[in-house]
Amino acid sequence: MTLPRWPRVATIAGREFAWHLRRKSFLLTTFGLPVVGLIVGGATLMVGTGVAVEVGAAVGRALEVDELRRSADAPRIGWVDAADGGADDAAAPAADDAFRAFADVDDAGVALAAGEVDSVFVVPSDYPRRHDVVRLARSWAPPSGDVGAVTDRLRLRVWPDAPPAVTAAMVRPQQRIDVDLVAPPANVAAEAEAAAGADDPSRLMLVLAVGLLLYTTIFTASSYLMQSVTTEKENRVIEVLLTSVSPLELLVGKVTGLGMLGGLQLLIWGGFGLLSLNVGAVFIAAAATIRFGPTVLMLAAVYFLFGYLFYASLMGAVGALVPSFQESGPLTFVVLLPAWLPFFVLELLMRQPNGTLGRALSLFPPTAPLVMMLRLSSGPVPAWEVALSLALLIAGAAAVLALAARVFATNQLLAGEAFNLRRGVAVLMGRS
Amino acid sequence: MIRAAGRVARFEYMRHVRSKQFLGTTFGMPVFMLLIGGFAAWSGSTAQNATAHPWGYVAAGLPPAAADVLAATDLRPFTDVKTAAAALAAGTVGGYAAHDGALGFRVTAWEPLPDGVSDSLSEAIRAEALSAAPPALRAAFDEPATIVYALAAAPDHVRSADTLWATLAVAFAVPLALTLAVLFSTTLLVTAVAEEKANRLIECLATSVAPLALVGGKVVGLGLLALTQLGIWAAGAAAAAVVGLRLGVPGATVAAMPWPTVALAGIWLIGGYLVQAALVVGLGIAIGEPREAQQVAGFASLGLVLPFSLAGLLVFRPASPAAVWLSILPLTSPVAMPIRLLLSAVPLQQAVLSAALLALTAVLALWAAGAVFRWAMLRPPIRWRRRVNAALP
Repeated sequence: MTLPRWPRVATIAGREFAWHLRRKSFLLTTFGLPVVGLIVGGATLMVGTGVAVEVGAAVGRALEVDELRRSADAPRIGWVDAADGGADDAAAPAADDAFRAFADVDDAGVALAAGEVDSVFVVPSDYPRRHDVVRLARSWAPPSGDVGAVTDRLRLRVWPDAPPAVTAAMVRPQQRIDVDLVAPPANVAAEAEAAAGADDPSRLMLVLAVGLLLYTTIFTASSYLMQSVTTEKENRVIEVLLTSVSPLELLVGKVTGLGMLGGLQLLIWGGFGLLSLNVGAVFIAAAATIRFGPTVLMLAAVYFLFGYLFYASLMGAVGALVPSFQESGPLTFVVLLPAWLPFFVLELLMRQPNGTLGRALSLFPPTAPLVMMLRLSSGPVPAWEVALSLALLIAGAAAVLALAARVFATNQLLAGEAFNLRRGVAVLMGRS
Repeated sequence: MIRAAGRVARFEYMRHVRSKQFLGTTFGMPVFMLLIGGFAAWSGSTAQNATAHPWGYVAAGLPPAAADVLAATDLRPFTDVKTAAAALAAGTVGGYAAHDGALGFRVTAWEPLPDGVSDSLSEAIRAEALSAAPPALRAAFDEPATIVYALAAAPDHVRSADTLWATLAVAFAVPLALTLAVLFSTTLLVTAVAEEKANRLIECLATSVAPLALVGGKVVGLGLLALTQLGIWAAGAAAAAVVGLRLGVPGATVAAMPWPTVALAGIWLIGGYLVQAALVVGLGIAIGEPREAQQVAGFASLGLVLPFSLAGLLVFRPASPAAVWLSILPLTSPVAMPIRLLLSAVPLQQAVLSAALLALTAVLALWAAGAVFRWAMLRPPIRWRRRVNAALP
């Protein structure tokens, strides 16, 4: 494979950048989305004044937002218990205010329909000989905390003289576990630090920031890339182009130009973000990431760059393989699937960033950008692992670029046939 | 006309049911979801119980009831606190628990307390508390009541907690199936219509088939296709539950489910699909350009998404005015009414009104789609951007 001629690559990159920059869909997405954000943000800021309050309150009332929240947090319980002589007389372990006694089921039903209580429990007159307690409600929705409160109350009916400690142990045993955290031994200090930082929000922020940047750029730029390739294939412009540039030059030029476009879009969104959001909060968040140090942030940029190159090349190859944009969906899904893998196991990765899975995924090129950032933000990572991960990512990106260029080979671009697996494999093996 | 519509429906069905895209989605998606779901579940469960090192407990001074519970766990027993502390200092255990003599544990650790260890200790505490109760009262003290559930409107018709959860799952699965069917088939529908219009095939078809028959045939054919897909998925899920999972859903729970109401909800499923499909076909024909038509089709299904975003209201306040309106308006009722029907006692007049409005809307939407077809057949694709630009000063 010959190296690309860079002036031609620059010409293609410049043309792709300039052409897509003027597209109405790009302008609409780039400026429309933040403007909507600004409007929504502005509306949020306006809450507290005049009409916004009225409208918000009316919608909230219609959707019964406060009522739903209140009933979830502190359910009001109706209590029909002829044998007990009324709920107010019974000793209850907690939340007595939540109980309201009714003489019979009919009265309780009326209160339930009027929304004065959230549920009604009917205790049989021969309780505890008969064990079934009926819970009446307005819907078949599964119960919330009211069943627990009623169970606790009934437990006192069963054994009224139960010592408070015994009852409390039955109801909330986890509150009787005192934890004394001590300094870890020297030989496990690094592991302990990583495990203790599992819930550190700044770590999560950094990982999500890299993920968001990477995926936004991938999805925006690669969508343009694939659209550009498929459109030029459909209208046969690509055949004219290939008379003067090589497939590799074409691919590298497109990837570079559209990568720059994605970067510009991110900058514009970032600028709008600073304008529309609380500027102070943005700076505080930025300051929080400083504790990771310049090396981690620099590595984040490197991983982001090669991660983009890896996926953009893949998407370019998809564009070259499929006959039209509409038919690219399934293949795009398969190609981008590895990018989502870390999110499926994020909790495990956060708790054991240096475990086997974390190490494996940080070396695997499609997942390396995200997972290595997570590991780097959770503590020191051996330098050789970072170097190996970067080397594999760069090699992976170069290999994918080379494969994509092979797919871009002239005969594929001219063929216009529907994609199938056998054909795809043949192209990648250089047999087509 | 019905015969012609039947032919169109059969053609559309047969054309897509053999396509690689349909077969791949129908059989590949469940396998993929199972793999991803299993992987995520394993990851979550492992993360919850993740400990860098084993944990232990001090056996000395442990009440018998608590000792029995902890002996059955993976926790490592130590004879005394000194041994446990030495293991902790050596880094061989992440932490250990010692009984505090008063229905509780004191945990010493350098790792955060894992959920699995916390659960085991809680179980030991409850066992110890229960052993303090008089033997005659022990069973009742442990489980003082069997709670059964009923609607205030029908207190004698009770269900178990298991049935409640199963009903909730079905109440959302039914409209979710509709939404999936709509999304799947309308994408095919809008692409097919727009492509046939773009390559002028539709003009040839229109010489021998009436517009309404053509539109109706496409809608019915692709609706049956979606039903086939959902049927295969449902059969697969049922087979997996029976063969592999035996998820603890007892036969009594299955028998107690409100199956007649589920069948009744089918009315809203069919009506909802017809309305959405007719809307999408009309838009697809009017717009003509496949990419833009697909975007517009997405907006048409917003009415189905809205009730899902207000699920809390439909579940916990099914008789509130907002929930009632959502279940009556034709664009939202296909999702809202099945949820209300399955989770509450809906007044008969509301159900009848909702079904009648939905049927009327479906008929009108199909008729309108046929009219749009006649109007737009010979028109070029509408370039919305160009029109907007032309309208701007």
